[in-house]
This record gives sequence, structure tokens and C-alpha cells, in this order.
Amino acid sequence: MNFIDARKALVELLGDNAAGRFRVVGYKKQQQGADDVRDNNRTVQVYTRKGKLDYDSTSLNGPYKYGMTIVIEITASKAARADLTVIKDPTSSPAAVVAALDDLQNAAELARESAEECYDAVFGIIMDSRNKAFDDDDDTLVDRRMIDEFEISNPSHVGSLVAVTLFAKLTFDTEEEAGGDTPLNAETPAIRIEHEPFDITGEEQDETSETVVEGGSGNEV
Amino acid sequence: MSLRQKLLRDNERTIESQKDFGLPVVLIDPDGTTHDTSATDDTRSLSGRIAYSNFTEDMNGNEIVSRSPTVTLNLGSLTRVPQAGEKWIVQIPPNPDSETLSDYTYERHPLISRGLGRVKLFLEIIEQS
Repeated sequence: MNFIDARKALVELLGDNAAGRFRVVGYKKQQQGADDVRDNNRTVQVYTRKGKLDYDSTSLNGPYKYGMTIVIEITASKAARADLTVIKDPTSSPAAVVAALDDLQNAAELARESAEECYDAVFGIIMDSRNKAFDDDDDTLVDRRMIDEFEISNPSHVGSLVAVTLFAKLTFDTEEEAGGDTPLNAETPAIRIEHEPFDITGEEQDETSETVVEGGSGNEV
Repeated sequence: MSLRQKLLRDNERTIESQKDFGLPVVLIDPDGTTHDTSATDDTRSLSGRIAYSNFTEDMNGNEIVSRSPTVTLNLGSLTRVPQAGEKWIVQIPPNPDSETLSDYTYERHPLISRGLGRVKLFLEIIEQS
């Protein structure tokens, strides 16, 4: 289906444009190691959340227009930062140590900034007009892509680091065609029960028969 | 002597004894004062019980795994108790066998138990700015 191709194209688009700012990992929600998403190793996960049929733009026999929702999940972690050369130096005056302590930047603040910075990059890539169809050559894969919502988690103290996750909701439209199904196993072919049209003028007769589909499309008889 | 008083007395052994689980700890308070000896005996280095455990934490649906050092200190050995919102440096060995100390701080509210005579700090590593 086209939405699968669209998701793959999106992953590829982000990966090609990451330029060392983040890593695109996985195609499903998965565990992240706080140590692994530190600094520029922030991860961007892309996974399908839902598809909703657009009744107004779909006919009974297709093509079927779906409004897709994909979640882009950015996870970043940071350590606290301070001027350790002053703090660790036994010759530092108490005033210098106090100044260094005052300048200590909390990891939570830094992690949030890191996630926001990464979102800035991801938003820029996806909403770049050149990428309006996720860089698809003939621009037919997706339509009306838009990041219409994002949410940042509270900083989470994870071990000796602090992690923040930003969830962005990307929506777009795809057109899907129903190409029919193929039996999965030729040894257990699909069976369709057929009934002759009911004859209201003649004698009642059971004309029920089984038709075995040997292969190919399930619609074939 | 009550059970609680016995427990407080035993903190020196159960938390601080380096023959058992105690490991060296150095604290630098927000005024820049270094605390590396016990408040009750300045010939005894400050020690605490450090846990280097791994755990999984669910964060708004996201799962994160990491090492999580925590240090438990005997309140009786502290001249100043770390409080929430203060900026402290906590120096501990990065692993139980290390002879060097790494620099940590904390943001989470310290768990202070007056009844048990202990304070527990959830540490975050500090890197050079």
C-alpha cells in the first residue's frame, strides 16, 4: 500500500538529510538507551499511528483516500554541564568554585533544548517545499503533508542522564488501490460458496456448489 | 535503646564502612566548601553506599534504559544536608573498583529520612562545559 512506501520514503528522506544531527532508527516504537541518545546521537523514530478513510474523497470502488497519521518521536538525553577544571582544581578559591556551581547547567534544561533543536531540523526537512511528497520523484505518493501538532514530555531522570521525548504528529493523504488478494498457500486454496439465483417460478432445487480457487487472484473462479 | 536508635548507631557500619559496602564520597556544597570527612570524626573519610543499578523507566510511553547511580549517606556524618534546588557536586567512584572519582550533581529531590538517619541522592553525571 502507498502509505507503507510513504513511510519508507520519509525514513529515507530524514536519514539522507540528518547530516550528523540525529539518527533515524527503527520503524517501530522501541526501547532507547539513554546513553545511546546522548548529545547529537538523538534518535528520530518514525512509525504509523493510524489511517482514516476520507469518505468525501472516496468512491465505493476506489481509489481509497486515507488521511494518515505518522508519529515522529525524537528522544534526546543530556548530562549536566559545569566547568569541572575549576571545581576539581584544589587551588581554586571558594568564590571561583561557587561561580562554577552557579553556572552549572542542569541536564533537564539541556535535554529539552536538544530535543527542540532536533525538531527544528526535522520540521525543516519535512516541510521544505522540495520534499512535499517526501522526495518522491513523481510527487504522487503523498499529498497535503503537515506537522500539525507536537508535544514534549517532562524531563525524565534516567540514570545519570536526563532524557526528553518530543512527539510530533505528521499527517498526509495517500491514495490506495485494492489490488485483490492472493491465496497464501496453494495447498489450502480459497473456497467460495456460490449460489444459483433463486428461481421463484420453478421447483426448489439446491444448486449450491463449491468453487476451489487454484491460484492467482482470489477473485478468479 | 530503641530499635531506631540501634539503626542510627548501625548506620556507620551499614552505610559507611568501607570494609563492607561503603565507598568514598566527596561533597562540594553550594558555598564551595568541600566535605570529605565525617562530621563526627575528621580522621574518617566521608563514605556512602552507592548503587550502580540498571533499570527501565516508562516516560510518557517511551522506555528508557540506563545506569542509575544513587548514593545513600549517613545524616549523622554530614555537617550540611543537601536540599532540593541546591547545586551540589557529588564525587563518587564511577564504578566500585575505581580509585578515581567522577563528578555528579542531582536535580531530583533528595530523599531525606530523619527517622532512619539517611539521605539518598539520585545522581546525574556532569560533563565539562
